[in-house]
Amino acid sequence: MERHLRNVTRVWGLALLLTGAGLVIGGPGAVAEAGTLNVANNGVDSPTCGAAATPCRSISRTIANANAGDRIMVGPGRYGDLDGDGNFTSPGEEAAEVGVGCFCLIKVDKALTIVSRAGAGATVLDAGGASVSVVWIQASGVVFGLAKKGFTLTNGGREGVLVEWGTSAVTVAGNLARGVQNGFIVLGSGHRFIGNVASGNGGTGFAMGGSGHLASGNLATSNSVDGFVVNDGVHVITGNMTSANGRNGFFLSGENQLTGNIASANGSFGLEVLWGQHVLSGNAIHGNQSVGILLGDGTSRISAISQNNIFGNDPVSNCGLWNLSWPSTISATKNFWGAASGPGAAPADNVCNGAGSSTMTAPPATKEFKGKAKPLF
Amino acid sequence: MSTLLPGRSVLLLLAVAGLGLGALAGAAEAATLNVANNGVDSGTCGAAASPCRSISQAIANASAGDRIVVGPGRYGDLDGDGAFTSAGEEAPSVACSCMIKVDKAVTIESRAGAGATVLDAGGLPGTVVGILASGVVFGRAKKGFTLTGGISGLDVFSGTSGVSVAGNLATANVNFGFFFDGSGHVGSGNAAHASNNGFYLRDSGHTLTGNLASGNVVGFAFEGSGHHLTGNVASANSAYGFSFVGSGHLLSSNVASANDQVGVFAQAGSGHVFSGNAVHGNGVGTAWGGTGTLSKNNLYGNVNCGMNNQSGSAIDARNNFWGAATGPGADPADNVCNFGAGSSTTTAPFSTKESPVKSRPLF
Repeated sequence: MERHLRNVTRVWGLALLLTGAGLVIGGPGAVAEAGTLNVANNGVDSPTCGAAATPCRSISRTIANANAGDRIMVGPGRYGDLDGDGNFTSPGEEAAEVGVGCFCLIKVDKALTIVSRAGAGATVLDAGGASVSVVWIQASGVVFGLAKKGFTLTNGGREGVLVEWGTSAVTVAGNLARGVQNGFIVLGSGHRFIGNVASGNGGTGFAMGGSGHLASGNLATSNSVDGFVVNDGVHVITGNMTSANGRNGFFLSGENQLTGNIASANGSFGLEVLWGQHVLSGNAIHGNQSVGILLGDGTSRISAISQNNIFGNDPVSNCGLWNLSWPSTISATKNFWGAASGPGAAPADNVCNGAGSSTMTAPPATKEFKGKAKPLF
Repeated sequence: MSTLLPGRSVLLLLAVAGLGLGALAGAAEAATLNVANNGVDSGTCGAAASPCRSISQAIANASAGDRIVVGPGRYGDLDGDGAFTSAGEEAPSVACSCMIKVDKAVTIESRAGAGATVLDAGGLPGTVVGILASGVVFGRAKKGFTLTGGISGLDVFSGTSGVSVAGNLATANVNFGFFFDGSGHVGSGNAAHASNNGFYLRDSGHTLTGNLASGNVVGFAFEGSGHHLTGNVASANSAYGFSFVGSGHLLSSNVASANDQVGVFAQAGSGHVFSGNAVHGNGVGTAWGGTGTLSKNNLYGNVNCGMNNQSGSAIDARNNFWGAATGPGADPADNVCNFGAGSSTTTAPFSTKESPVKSRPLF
């Protein structure tokens, strides 16, 4: 598609001016200069929109006008089905694919940086109740949101953000997913999810497959099922909070590193490990309605669970850890169980073993470890 | 009853040793009481080595001026039997119809922030936290609480003043996320989701700064007089972003976006000042049944009118940006609509470019 007038033209204009003046400015434009395209609620969609003076109305149109490497700056307001008629055909509405194609409101198929000008709270991508993902990322290298420059993703029957298989090095940051089925689903490899919130969704807050993702400083709260579902590996899950979700704080399989997270007040387990070999260190597991950490029967290869704070869980069984990894012995030394004397009756949490399983807890930590998770606000 | 806590112990020790404390001896030292999920409630709990299990017990053990630090985890009906009678559970009060009654001027903050510290009323037919004393500090930036499962998340009662509420998340409460009665309270950096009203103000002189109301029926609703709202965001609420009656309210640097019916609805009253706000992507941008002045706002991208004057009066709306350098009009600008006899709106001179809005995102 033809490249159109926008901010970048000022750069090229300057280059031409300097060249005309006889100045040498390096190579003859072998490297394309990244440009900034603008989207706003007073924009008008066209194949040439995007300059600061002529913003686009829809993010979809802007993506179509952009080249890989460009930045898209989105103003505050609503993007989606603007007139609420259930269709996406009126001027300025997003080019949703409902029941076909990507099943999404906004498809990001180029390596773009897409950020908001006023943050997630003020910038709403609204799927209008359609059975779609709000944002579907199918290109590597996309940056979608940054701290204080993200989006609210809402009213979609599928995911808030879906990062597709086959992609790598996508960054998703500073976003709020609320009122969708699953907040964020991350496939592919080597993605970074930082400082996002998934709250009040019908399914899971964050779900990961593929390999080598980083999830840091996110909050999953009040989702109907799990806060985080982490499959495959090796993902680094650090400094996140998961609380008040309907089922588990974390649901884990594969081979992953969980460090410095907090799982509190979830409706079932703080952390359920289905199978795999994981590093579980420096986490805080408190006030979950069922067991703090459940080790399923495929977890015998867990090398160590250490330096975690595990207490205040399951007022009925009082199990901070329930080991069903049969037949194996799990090492869970140097954890703080709520009392200097180690695991035991309340106010400490106990360690419970299924038939044929055993857990080594001595020496326990005698005092609480300092938490490393940083609150978002 | 106050317990013998570290701060007081030092004072007593020094006194016993015969040291002259002078004026210090006459002033009670503020103490810090601790609450944690591995605590045990008692009439003396609260020291770092013997935390309380419930916030209610820590409040009972505290004196005015004390600080209560709450560890991560769940507080409320721990075993989910609906009774609040098991060890370590909070002590609901009939007097305030609330799960946790704050009836002393204490500071209550969490150690790990709202996302990790959950006060769950579990469907109790009342509010999660009721504040009945002036001067209470409930939460701070990054040291707040999640308030959920109540009729209201937090209720500051009438007759109080000077209460500070900060850094909290109220979600899935029925009527109100945060309800402020009384006078001169400050709410900052809180978020409210999934309630009928995210924030509700009564009486006079409250200040709301940097809060987010998203996914409620109404984001911010207020009555009374002289409230100041600055730097707040109301978005994706199903009816109104901001809705108010009363007199003399000041709204500046707020954002109302993607609210289904009206972004900012001045339903009645007079003397309101609406300046430096951004109103985008709502059904109607701003509707005025009452009167006031509007200036330096950005009003565009709303489905119907950017401004709907239905007050029956003349309203001064000069120096606003309506989405185009040519002033109010057809898309992509927003228009100004006057309804009813006597309604008129002065828009010229208008701003020819967008005004900077100073709202700061929560995250």
